[in-house]
Amino acid sequence: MTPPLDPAGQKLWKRVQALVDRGAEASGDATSIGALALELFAWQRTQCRSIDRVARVFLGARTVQDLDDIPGVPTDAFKATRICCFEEHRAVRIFRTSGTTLDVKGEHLLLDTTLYAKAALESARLHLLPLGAYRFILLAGNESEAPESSLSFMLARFAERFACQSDSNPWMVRKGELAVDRCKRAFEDAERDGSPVALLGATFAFVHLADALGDWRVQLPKGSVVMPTGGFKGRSRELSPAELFQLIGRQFGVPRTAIVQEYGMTELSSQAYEAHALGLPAGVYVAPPWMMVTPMDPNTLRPVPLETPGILRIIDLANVSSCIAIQTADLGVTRAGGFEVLGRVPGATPRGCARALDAVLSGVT
Amino acid sequence: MEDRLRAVLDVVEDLQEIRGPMGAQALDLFESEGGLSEPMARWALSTVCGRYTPEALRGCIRTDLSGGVAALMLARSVPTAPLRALVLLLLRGARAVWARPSRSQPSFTRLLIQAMSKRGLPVHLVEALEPTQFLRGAGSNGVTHLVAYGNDDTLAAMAQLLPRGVRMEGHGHGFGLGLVVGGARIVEEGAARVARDVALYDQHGCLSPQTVLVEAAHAPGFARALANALKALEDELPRGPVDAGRAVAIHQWQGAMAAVAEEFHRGPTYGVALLEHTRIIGSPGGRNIAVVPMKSWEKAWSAVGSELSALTCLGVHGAPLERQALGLPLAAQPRVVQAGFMQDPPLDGPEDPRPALGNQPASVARGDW
Repeated sequence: MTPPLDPAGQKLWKRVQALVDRGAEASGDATSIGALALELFAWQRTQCRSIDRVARVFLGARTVQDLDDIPGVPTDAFKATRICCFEEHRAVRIFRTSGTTLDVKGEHLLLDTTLYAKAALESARLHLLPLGAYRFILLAGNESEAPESSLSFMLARFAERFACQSDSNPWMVRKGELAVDRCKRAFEDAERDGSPVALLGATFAFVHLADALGDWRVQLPKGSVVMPTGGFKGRSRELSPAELFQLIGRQFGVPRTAIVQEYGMTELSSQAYEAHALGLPAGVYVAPPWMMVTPMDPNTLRPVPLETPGILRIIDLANVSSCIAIQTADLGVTRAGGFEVLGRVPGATPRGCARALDAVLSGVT
Repeated sequence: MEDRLRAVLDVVEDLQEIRGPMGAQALDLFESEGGLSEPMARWALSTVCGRYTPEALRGCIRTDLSGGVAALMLARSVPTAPLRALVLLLLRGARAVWARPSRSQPSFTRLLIQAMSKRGLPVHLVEALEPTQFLRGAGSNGVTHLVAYGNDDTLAAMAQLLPRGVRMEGHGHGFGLGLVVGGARIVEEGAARVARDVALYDQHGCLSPQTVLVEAAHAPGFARALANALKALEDELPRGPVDAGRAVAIHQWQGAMAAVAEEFHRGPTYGVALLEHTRIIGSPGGRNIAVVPMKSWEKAWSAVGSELSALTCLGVHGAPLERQALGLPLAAQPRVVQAGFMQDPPLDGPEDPRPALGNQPASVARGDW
């Protein structure tokens, strides 16, 4: 079923859906995907005043000729206003960025979740959950507990599709508390019956679990995968990626190739993954054909040369009803076969004695 | 004291002589350490140092530190700040000044202290010690007075480390606002003045405006005029270099503002957002500013809200400069000047009009004063 967009939007939705249906492994025809992106962007400008305003400001007198010209809407804009191509009251789901209660949160409004789910499942099937059936252990709250969390939504879809256990609850966080004993039992069950485990969740929850388990160790069955995602968000002690992988490897008896990092964000509908099976080095992410990641020069907002770091602009065609072009504050670089994320751009140098007032964005409109 | 004054004036004269060795070095350092473009660095050396006249310096002579030993903890600020901080302590009669440079301007501070020492001024450089060691050792080194710059959290942390008996003057971060009223005639002239306030130091100082409040009916015209005025300043006072972090912050701010603004005017070195409602919007610096409509003084100050006490400077165009006329609440103690003169403070400040320990724990303030 196509969601209630105008006729042009519905046609575009169907074209994106067809592209996603072909699967994450399909070699996309860059020209036709690029053309679709240009059409989608032009249509979104007609539907969403904010996207059009941002485009006008960043394009100036230039016109959009190709993919590189599409200006990404900065992620902070999602904190300032609702960016969508439909009437807000029609949203079936609103995902919000995480942060402290005082932080202004970014919002991603969805008119329909089927395309999001399909896009997420396709990439996960290829890079994260290739065996098709796993015992799920999820270090996150479930959807009813965290309805605004895009991570919980995604993990729920993964569990629906790929979980082999039907009689136990895979969600190990309840009311913000990690059920350590239940995690232990689930690990022991998995060790006993040999089913591969999908241990997925928030990075900080992994740290909490490891701290709680202490010297307790488990050898996860062959084929198991571990996906810690998102930052520490001040909710646990911070570890470097190497320390985190070492901790996970030691605690759960898995090699680095069983740990799969995901690159996604609340403002997107699609995710990129490390692709160990493709023989790519750890830290190199592969995006599905409908998601294009381009490092841009932070000053000119034009693509940087190959192997040069830039701030990542993402075109995610699955964001049909919101905004396909997102400008992140993440630093990254194009690598053979994919891209590497180098982390957040270091904060701007403090500005002398000028007080850092919040750009108090929430409710500006 | 007259000897000190003459020695200070000699140092300032050398700084202003940009063809001389010290002036040339200072010019380079204002660019490399201070983040200014060359024309802006020249402006800072000529105009700001030009305020150090014998009369102005005599007006700063006080004896409140007479016989005391001052420790000076500098922090990132506008490039001329170390000069002002050192000169004031000397003119206040400090027997000696031990200065710890900021991480951002070590070389310029070193240059100043070398020049001052050569002229017999009792200033000394402290670089080897970590700030905490410096503070903890202050009492045993005979320090009686600490003058510290930095953000409020840093100052509060310093106050906790300070040995008993050492007095502290903390100068926290602040912000400025532009204020433009008075009908259509104010638009062009007001915009030119506010543009100057925005451009000087690229909004890196606590006196720089972060938002400009404009009489509602004329806000759109003002925003356009301000953008034109900022564009016109690009040659005279070019913006300094922008690092990757600042570029990202500017881009995120511009995108967020563009998404919600009634109008957004963007050029290579500036951004002006015209907003619909009266709000105070923090700026990412680099000549980016929100123009917000103002329907009454009351609503304007209400928008500033809890930040009133950090309001350092008001640049006003089209209204009298008296507090009463502006309806300023008591909590706000800014320096009120004509727009266009926000970066032209008197030599002795007041760049931070708040009580010296205004934002620090009351127990510390009581215990150590």
